Amino acid sequence: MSLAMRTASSGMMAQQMMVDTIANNIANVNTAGFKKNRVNFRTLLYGTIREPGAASGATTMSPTGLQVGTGVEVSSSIKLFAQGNFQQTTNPLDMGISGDGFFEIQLPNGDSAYTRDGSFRRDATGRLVTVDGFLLLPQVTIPADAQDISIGQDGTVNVNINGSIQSVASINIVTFANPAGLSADGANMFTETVSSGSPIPVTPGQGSAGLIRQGFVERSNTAVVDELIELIQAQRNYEVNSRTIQVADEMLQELSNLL
Amino acid sequence: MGMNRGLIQAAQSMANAELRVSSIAANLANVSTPGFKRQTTALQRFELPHLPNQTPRAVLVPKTDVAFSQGSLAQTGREMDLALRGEGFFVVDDQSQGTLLTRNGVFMLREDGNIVNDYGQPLAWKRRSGLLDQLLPVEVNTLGEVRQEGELKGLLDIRAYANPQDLQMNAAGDWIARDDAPELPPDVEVLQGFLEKSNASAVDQLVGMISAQRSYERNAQVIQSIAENYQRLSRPS
Repeated sequence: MSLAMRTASSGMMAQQMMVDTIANNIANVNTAGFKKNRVNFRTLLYGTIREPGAASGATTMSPTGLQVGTGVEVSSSIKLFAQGNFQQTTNPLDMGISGDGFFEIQLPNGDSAYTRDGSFRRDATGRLVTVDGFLLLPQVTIPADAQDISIGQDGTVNVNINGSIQSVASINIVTFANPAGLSADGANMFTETVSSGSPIPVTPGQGSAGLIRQGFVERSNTAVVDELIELIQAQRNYEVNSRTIQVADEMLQELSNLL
Repeated sequence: MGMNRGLIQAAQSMANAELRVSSIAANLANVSTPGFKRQTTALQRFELPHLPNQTPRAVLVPKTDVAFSQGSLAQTGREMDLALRGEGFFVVDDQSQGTLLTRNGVFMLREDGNIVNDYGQPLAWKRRSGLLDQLLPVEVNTLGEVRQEGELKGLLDIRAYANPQDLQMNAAGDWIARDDAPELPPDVEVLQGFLEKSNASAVDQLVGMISAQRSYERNAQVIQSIAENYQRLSRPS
């Protein structure tokens, strides 16, 4: 009976993890460039009490098998990199990536991080930085006397200086073999892991890399309705697992009445 | 002797009900595991060897089977989510266990150009013309042919077996086929951007659990009344 209880508790823990993930997705419904998470479940350890077809004698074999499962585990949690919708803004330095790819950001300690949140600003020396003040890599500096900043779909930055249009920089993005393997480090940023592979610098629009959309930010790809449906399902699944514990408990009670 | 046999049978029935509850608990814990196949328990009757002048006797032995029925398909839109509709399994290679069969279609494209599951086991191919390009989108058609930018990269290995009893479940809920298990041509469609949901339904499993609980209770009552009868017998009259 304690097996059924432990099995059910693994189910409850898995559903709890599902609810936690959904809560985080919903909480980030208005976070620019947010990518929702999904947890993946896997069956846990089937104990074989009797193998079907196992030899039960020199010439005989057992015709039936007996295997009992011990529950479920959360095998992985992955980011779903589906495109979010674009929202138009009035800031010419806001950029959305339409397609695959990330902006590379330099953290204060010199390491690189990657983000889809393209809300950039100029710092005191004209360099493009995130809202947290981290530098965009490769560095882009907008001259102080520049007017009318225009960023092409391929990342070329053109500015108007005293009436002449000049190209001052080009913005590169990076892609990963397995973006789902990136580690999400909060503040909308990701860092590379062994599972994501190394960053591959690309020109926007090259291969499967996305294009830059100036004056837009990418909204969160969380759809609240979908999340709510999953939340309700997770709650019901949690309930049926707790019902298993209740049944196992009642059966144990029945047993102890016999003694 | 008669009461003794009744006691043994009632205790055996309680053990069987307990097994049913444990098996149902595992099904309920996996109602949201992609590609999960529910387990069923049953009692199989075995005639015991007997002499011609004896009454034949039989024992009931509990057994478990896997219900390989199709789970419903849910659209996820994720490129490397694959679902199977029909009879067949994805094949993944494990370094120590060899060839594993699975219906769980959560895969990812690794940097080395292989498609792997979340345990890092690579998906097996029937034939392939080189590794996948990690930068290009992957298209999988219903036949299991994998293309990148229209170029055929290979055909996924999907296998089906004639007898479900030739498949044995390993500890992680994947299946291993016996070496000489007869194969069938797979009658299956591969759907990209879909996942097959668990085929365990919470309602059915709850009904089964309640019925197992009731059977447990009934047999506990049988034991109790037999015990009371023993007491009555041993009381001096």
